[in-house]
Amino acid sequence: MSAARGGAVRTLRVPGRHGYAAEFSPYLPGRLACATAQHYGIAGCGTLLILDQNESGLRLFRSFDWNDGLFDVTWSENNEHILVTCSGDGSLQLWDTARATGPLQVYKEHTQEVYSVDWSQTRCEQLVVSGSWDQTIKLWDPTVGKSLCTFRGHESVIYSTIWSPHIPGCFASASGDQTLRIWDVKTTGVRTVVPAHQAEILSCDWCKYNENLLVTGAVDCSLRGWDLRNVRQPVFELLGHTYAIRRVKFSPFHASVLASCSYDFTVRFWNFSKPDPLLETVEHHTEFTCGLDLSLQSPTQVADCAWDETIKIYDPLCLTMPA
Amino acid sequence: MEASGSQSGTGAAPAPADSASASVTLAQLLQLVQQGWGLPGLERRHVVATLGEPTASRLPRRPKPWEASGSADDPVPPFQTRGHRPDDPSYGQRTLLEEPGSGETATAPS
Repeated sequence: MSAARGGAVRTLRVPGRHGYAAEFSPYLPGRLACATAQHYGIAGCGTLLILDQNESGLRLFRSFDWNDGLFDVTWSENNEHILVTCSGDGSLQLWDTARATGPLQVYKEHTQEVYSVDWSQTRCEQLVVSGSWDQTIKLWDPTVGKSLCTFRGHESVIYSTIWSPHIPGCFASASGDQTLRIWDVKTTGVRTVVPAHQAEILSCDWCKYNENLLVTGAVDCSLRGWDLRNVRQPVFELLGHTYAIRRVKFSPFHASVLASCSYDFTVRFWNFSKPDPLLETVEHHTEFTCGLDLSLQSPTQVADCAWDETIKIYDPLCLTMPA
Repeated sequence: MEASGSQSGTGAAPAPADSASASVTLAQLLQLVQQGWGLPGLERRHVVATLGEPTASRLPRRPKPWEASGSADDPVPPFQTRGHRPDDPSYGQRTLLEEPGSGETATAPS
């Protein structure tokens, strides 16, 4: 397999911290947030890292410690300084990168690990959705101390909650109960239940150029595409990972390109519209690769983080030279 | 809130981890947990909310790439893609694999 990349890989080593999520700032090119945990998230504290790219590599701009492992992070869509993380103690934290200490606020309602947070992507809404191992999803207005509502229905832990980039008040969730679910905030109920895999589903994401298309990534090593207008069969299946798929994201720039990272240590890039959909396999980590993001500013730039205590920013060859 | 003198206050670097903790592999850690041993370098924090106000935003929201008209360099593709080809030799033989819990024995694919 190829590990070819279009340019220099910028690496930051974070001793004693295992990366769970990486997210590019929607405001500042090259600024990256990374949610990490000590001891692989099994015990100990967590740290939110804010990184900036420069000519020589990746520089740590700021770090914030929390009492428990941090499993996901999302940037505010209405304030370049603000982010929200979630942690193993069931809480969410609101951070301000312009301040040296934090968090500003802590929201504690979930009763078990919170594995996902996401800030709404549609204009005129500034809401956060969180998914927990307590099998509930909660909706938050970060200016309000309590959750706005709780969504129940999943029958196992929730690993992923992602807002639709197109449909206001609509988000998707992926769970250990092997379903993908689509929810509507306005009705506080589930809109669609997709039995998407016969295995735990660890991740899901929305296509940025087709409001009906989602992808799921599961413990069965497969990625599957779902058209919400007909969910009886997947519209594509992508095979190649050799262990569970931990995170999948659609490209912000290409309608049919997506990236996935896995417990097989690799990051893979795909174009589901091609007969040979696997574009590239990047093998530059030596442990589970859990965090992955595609830049909103650069069509070629990708960030990932892994349990090998490294965070990397790079330009995979397949994005620098699209076929 | 951070204990006074914490490195985090300067925003300079994460707390320096015990070198022992950095060298513990996932397999070793799971073994220590299962055997009831203490974990090396375990860091306990007592951080609380500062209840401060967010710093005011000074930047306008940037449109997402998909919000800019005509920015997609592919049109939305139709759904007749075959996706994975069963006859593709490079990964045609993959089937369902192990649970992730067996990860401590995971090896990088060749």
